[in-house]
Amino acid sequence: MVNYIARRLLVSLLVILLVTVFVFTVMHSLPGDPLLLFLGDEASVSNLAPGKMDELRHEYGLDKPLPVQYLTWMWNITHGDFGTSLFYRDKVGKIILERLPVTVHLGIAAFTLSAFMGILVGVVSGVRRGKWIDTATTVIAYLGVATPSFWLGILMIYLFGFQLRLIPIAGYTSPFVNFWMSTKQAILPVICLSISGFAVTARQVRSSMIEVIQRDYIRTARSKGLKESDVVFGHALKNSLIPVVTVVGMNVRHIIGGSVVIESVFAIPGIGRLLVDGIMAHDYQVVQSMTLIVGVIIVLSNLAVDMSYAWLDPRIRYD
Amino acid sequence: MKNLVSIVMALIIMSGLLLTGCPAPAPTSVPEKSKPTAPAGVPEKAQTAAPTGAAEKAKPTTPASVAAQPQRGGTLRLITDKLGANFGYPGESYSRPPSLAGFAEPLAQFDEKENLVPVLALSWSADYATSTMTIRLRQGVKFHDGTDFNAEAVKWNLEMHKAADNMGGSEYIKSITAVDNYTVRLNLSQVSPLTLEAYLQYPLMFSPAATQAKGKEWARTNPVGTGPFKLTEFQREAFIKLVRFDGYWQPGMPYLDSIEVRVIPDPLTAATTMQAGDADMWVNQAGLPLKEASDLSRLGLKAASVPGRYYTMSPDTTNPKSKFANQKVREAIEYAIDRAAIAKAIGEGLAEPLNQIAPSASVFYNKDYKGRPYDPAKAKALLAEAGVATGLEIFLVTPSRSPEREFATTVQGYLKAVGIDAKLTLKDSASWTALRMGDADWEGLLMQSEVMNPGLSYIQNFTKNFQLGGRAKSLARSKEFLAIIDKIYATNDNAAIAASGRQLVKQVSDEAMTIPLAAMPSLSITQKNVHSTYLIESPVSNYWNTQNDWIEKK
Repeated sequence: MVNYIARRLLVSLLVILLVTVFVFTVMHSLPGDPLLLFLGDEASVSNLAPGKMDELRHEYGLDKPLPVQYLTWMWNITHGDFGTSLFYRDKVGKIILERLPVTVHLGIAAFTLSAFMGILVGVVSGVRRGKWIDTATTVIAYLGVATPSFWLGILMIYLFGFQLRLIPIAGYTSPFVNFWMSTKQAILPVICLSISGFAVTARQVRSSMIEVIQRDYIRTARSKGLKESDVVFGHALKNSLIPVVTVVGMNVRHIIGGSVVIESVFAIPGIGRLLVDGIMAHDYQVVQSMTLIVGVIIVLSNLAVDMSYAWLDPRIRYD
Repeated sequence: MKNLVSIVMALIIMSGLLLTGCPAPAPTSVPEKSKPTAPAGVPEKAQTAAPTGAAEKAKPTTPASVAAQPQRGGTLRLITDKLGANFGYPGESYSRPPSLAGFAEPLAQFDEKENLVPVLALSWSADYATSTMTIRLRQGVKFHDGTDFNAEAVKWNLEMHKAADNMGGSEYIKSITAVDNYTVRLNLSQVSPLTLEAYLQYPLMFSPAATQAKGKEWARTNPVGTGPFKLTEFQREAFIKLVRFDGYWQPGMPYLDSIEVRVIPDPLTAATTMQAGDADMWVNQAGLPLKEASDLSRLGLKAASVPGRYYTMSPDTTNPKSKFANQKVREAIEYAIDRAAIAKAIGEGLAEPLNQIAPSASVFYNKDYKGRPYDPAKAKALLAEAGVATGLEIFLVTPSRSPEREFATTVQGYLKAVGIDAKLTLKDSASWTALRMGDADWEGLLMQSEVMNPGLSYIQNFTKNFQLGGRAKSLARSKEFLAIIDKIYATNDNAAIAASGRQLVKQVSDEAMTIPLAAMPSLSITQKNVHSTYLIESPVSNYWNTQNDWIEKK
């Protein structure tokens, strides 16, 4: 098992490095001078002496050859220095640490909601196949897959935030500052983030349950007189979870990707918005660092999914 | 049963689509475009003469409210699209979004008549013989950290701005001297009323003691100024809280207890927040989206609208092979475009079509200049005279943002009608800025936009550090154009500067150096019970006298 994990981490490291090289190359290939954007309003730009631009370029290391810039950045990363943001004029690591907990908070809530509700609805749908509840949950699941999260977000803001005045329209409060306000503000963005994951999970659980529920050992369990809940959750669900865990693991990517849009719609200061702002501002250090972090998160979540297979099915062994 | 469920689900989906798809019923009457008028009963402001004369000592006046006496207390909840990175360290470029007004002040500011009036400076004078400018400062002013605002503080701030090259005319400052505790003298290599305005109204004053003690990284996000509010809470690009500064130099001010600024980048979310009453005021750094702002105005919220930016198209006239090197072609483009219709369509009824390079609010505007009104027949005739065949292909380079993209798309249609096939080339902000401000060339027409600087400083739009004056590489400048600019900077008289400025605008228009389109407004939206002076007291500059704002209790 340890060897397997080590091999996987090594391969993942290579993948992450390739991704950072790709993102670095693309960002630097984009036309336009990020310094001009960095300087902000036109009054600032027009007041600059021409030589000042070269000074700034040197200060931010933008006058060096691209391979040198990349290797310098990688070297600094190994020392915990993610560089300095061109736009925020502050350490990238510090900015990410400010924003990451926000996205993690909402991401964990969305992940838990999508997984829990997806499994629950999928089980009910699979066990009650052909009944009205199966039809209803199927339609809801299709809606969840088809509905764009940003559209849903705007709709929910209008309905629940504006028309019904049930929930704050936008913003984020840390749960350590005001737990109740934080919960109210998190409801809509968490639902929007979790909806597509919930839908995909529910469909997958339904399919797996339908397949497993027809197995002989389920019939045996029923004929032994076990309660239906024990049969479903104790026997059927566990055996149907392997493909489900795969899908649930993919939700991590969907949540990270969805956070880019949802954080802008709901005015949440997380890493999704940071990434968008960084791309628009050609803030190389922010984009590269964010790519690295997102890559690491996805790699680790994939590894966790693979490890869980061994727990779910004792026949699976890694060496 | 299954069919019933399906029907019910379909009805739910359709209801959802109808709910979001159907617009709100239009109101039967549309309020007039709000104008930046001063409130009734405002006492005449004590005006300071332009920098060329000795200025009298004057004190700021506080305007009365529109319909009731100002009420004390309350928190102004403001929403904006972004905050910026640096708002407290003068040694670097810093943007001055209106949302961050209130904690730092300049030496002087423009009033609604575009006159420079005192703020932290009491008076100023320029001596053209000795090339110096003397500024006399207000006494009894404290920074938020308790240190004194004095000549040494001003000297430090101006030196920081000069070192950072982030202030117009800083290259003319040879040295700055603190003559006494409340008098500062600038020793200049060149004196012009235009640069003197820049020294007074652009730099905000920050506490040198605070910055020197805690460093520039701290100062960037912890501004310590002299304003009526001080910063107490800061979350990067999310939230800022300002509370009243009890040591503010204007007695009895400010009216408000605090200002809370929230960042909501999405315009739809921001508009919904205003409509729901969860915010009191909406001000964006990049300008409010006109559609959402107009909709809110029609729903009864208050809108203040003043000229913000003006939009033009610059042809690639330095390229001898370009069709635009021929003036007849440039004139034809102007005749081909119905600017009144474009301004009405894109500007939601708030934009001003331009017939020259200055909007009507500018002192450089020529009232009697007719320009080249919409006349597609004349456009075709001019193109024929210029030997341009039908089906001419050109590039129309525009940023992918609004409203430039909308302008370009509309212009494309008008050009098509006169036989010019304009291919749109969309650029991201960085690339577009490089074309306007950097060393890159463009081919065809380049969409431009300029801030409408107040008063005489409007001339800066034509100087070498701005795209019209010098930065845009593909735009040719005639000898006559350059000669008028030199003439403007050589004179000390404000009236002469204004007259030469009008001559400059006419010259640009006569030779069709650049093609004017429209001037778009700068807007703010407030709730009915909010009495804000933003864009009213100082409609042509970004400075906002937050101490005069108050909220009427419901």
